Amino acid sequence: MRALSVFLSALLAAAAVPARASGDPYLAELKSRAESAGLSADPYWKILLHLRRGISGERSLVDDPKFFLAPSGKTDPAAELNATLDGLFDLALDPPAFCRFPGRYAWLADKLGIDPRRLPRIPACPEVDNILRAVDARSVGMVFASGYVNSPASMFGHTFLRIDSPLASPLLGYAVNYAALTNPADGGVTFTVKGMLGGYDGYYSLMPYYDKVREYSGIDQRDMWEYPLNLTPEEVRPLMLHLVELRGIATDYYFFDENCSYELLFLLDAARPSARLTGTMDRGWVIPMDTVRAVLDAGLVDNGAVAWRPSRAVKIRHARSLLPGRERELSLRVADGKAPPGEILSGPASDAEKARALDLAAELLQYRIAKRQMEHKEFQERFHAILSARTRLRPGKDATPPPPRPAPPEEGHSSARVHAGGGWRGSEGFLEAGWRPAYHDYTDFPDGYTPGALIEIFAGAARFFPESDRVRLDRLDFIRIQSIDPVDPIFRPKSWKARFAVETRDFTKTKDSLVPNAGAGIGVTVKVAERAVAYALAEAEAAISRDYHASYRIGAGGSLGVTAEPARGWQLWLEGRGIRGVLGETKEGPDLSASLRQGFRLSRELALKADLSVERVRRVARTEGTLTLNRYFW
Amino acid sequence: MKKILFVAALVLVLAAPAIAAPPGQLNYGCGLGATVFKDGGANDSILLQLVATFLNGLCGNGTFGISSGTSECAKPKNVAGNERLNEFAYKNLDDLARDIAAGQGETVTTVAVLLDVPVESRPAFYKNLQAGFPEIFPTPTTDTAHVVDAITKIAARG
Repeated sequence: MRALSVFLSALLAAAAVPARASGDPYLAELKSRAESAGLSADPYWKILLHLRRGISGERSLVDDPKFFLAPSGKTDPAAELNATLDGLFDLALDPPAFCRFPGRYAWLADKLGIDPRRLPRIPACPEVDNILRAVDARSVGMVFASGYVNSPASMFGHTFLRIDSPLASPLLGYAVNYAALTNPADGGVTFTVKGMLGGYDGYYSLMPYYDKVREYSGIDQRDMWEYPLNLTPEEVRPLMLHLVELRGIATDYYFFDENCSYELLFLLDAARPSARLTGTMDRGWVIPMDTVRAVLDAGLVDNGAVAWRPSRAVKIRHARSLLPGRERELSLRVADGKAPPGEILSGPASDAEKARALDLAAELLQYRIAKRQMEHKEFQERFHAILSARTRLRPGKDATPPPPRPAPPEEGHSSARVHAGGGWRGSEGFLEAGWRPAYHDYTDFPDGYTPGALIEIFAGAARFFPESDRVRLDRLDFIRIQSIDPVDPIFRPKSWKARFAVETRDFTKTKDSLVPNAGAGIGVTVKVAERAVAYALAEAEAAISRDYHASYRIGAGGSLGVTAEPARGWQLWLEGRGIRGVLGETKEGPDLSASLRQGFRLSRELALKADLSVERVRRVARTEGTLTLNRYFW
Repeated sequence: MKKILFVAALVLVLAAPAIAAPPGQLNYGCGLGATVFKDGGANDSILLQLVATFLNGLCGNGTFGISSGTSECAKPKNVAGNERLNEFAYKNLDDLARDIAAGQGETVTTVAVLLDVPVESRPAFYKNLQAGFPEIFPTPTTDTAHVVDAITKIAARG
């Protein structure tokens, strides 16, 4: 895919060689000054070209031939610099080079002291000026939209920038977003494969911030965290100029590294090159929250100014919890059209409670229309009636207080984890070491993570059994996701899980082998206490091994579980699971297990875990216990 | 055979949420799509789109419930006035109506900013907006053009 696009780019670029500028003496002078100043190796030039050091030397991450003026520009920054200077003198280029690359030219003009009167045409660009004037950028914030596990592509969250003008309302800012342009017709599998392998083009875009607020907190039910950055207006300007030169420029989108979050860092580096943010992310995968941490670590955020924008779902749940029972029920009935808004007004509640009940009814109605659960006309009439009733109550002081603010995401544990410890299985002791590049499970301290979302990518553990001198890869989860989101009278999310893994399974008392398996489940979760939920999932699992009769087993079954936080810093996860073979191996079932996993937080990046399980596999029963020390990092 | 099909279907159904992209998602990796792309194609005017929004002028036909969809601003009308306010009201009409009815909130603050209402007179402005709700939203199908006119009048009355 990539090689092909590089080849095509080269081909296209070769076809689009600009007409060589005439041998203008001023051009020669600029080139020699640029060379003696070593500009083509300047860190800022590398930022402008999105250069990254790879296996085959430095190359630009941008894949669009339109982004390069030199045929070899993608891999040759010096040639690209010369071609960029040529562009200033090339009257055949349309649009003029300085309109296409305002960021590059602003920097070159500053570094070389370019005299515009000695150029063949004045480097003025109304189109660019219009954009800059419209946005009127003075300051920048970084926004983190929390993860949404029911859309796997969004499960790690999302980051974008907000450009603010002098107007004193955050809603009037502009969101700068980097996203892949996907084909809505692509199915889930195509989408996933293309997303991981660079099959989609990513683009930068700019849109009103209120559109993003509606999209994330209104429709998508995701909380937003807004981090104001301490960039000065002088630093914001080059960011804007660089953004303008990236308009309509395509870069192959890679879900794991060249993604929304990584690409934004080029813009921040353009504003403050000394932060070198893109350089902090050379590990093969980039998680949105990690880029926020990098931005915090680089000192770009002033403490104490972080704003939280709760999603509509959070607001509705909070508002319901504040109302007396009668108003809680009534607001739902009013929203559903089963009672007139006047019934809230004429009730016995205080004015404040009435106001909150009507506000809640309006919010519920907006949730319904956003989810397409009602007709447009019906919405208009009911919404109008509720709001008309609301105007009977005094303005201001009776509004619903905001929900309590959760711990901000950056206060959560880091995204990667290693652990070491030991335990016993059956009658034999073992030592264990494990790793997890990303991200979170139910025994990790939950602050800063989406409640109920378990996501593990490439997590594994190896065991050494000293008595029998065996080393075993105990498990390796290529991907494991579980979402347990409790249902209530308003929200009815499905709970589900999916897992692709290899794990060591026992087949007889003395024989084990490594079994590739894939499983999934779907079901429901309910809240059972203030900090405890219970779930039930129907499950299916396919496993392959020579040691199964017929070499495979497809099984069906289910799991019941509880996750709880008995005390702050103590996470508990109890689960019972059963699977019975229905195809392939069917005579040896069912496999049953019960496990109790616990996590004890020692500090933000350190935890103790204790697991205990009892299982009965192929009619052989075993107990297992492990105790491990876990260290989070990155 | 029946059994095989049944189990295969079961595995597929159970695994579906794990691999399915949400319908209508236009974007990989981070949430919903970038709606700036017109006609599903990216072109040089991605950023210009923004400027075009201003040049489009007014979306006078917006009513309640429009902003929850992804409708585009389709019917420019030549009504003089504060274009950013028109645009803002069109896109945020539902929230704005709620805040006007409650006499407070982020969207009425934003309107005050756009109309240059001085900070000290804002509490009174919000109160007047709440009292003027029947005038601003006379019917459930009131459109944005009327809303903006009515708000502007109320602001002018001070």
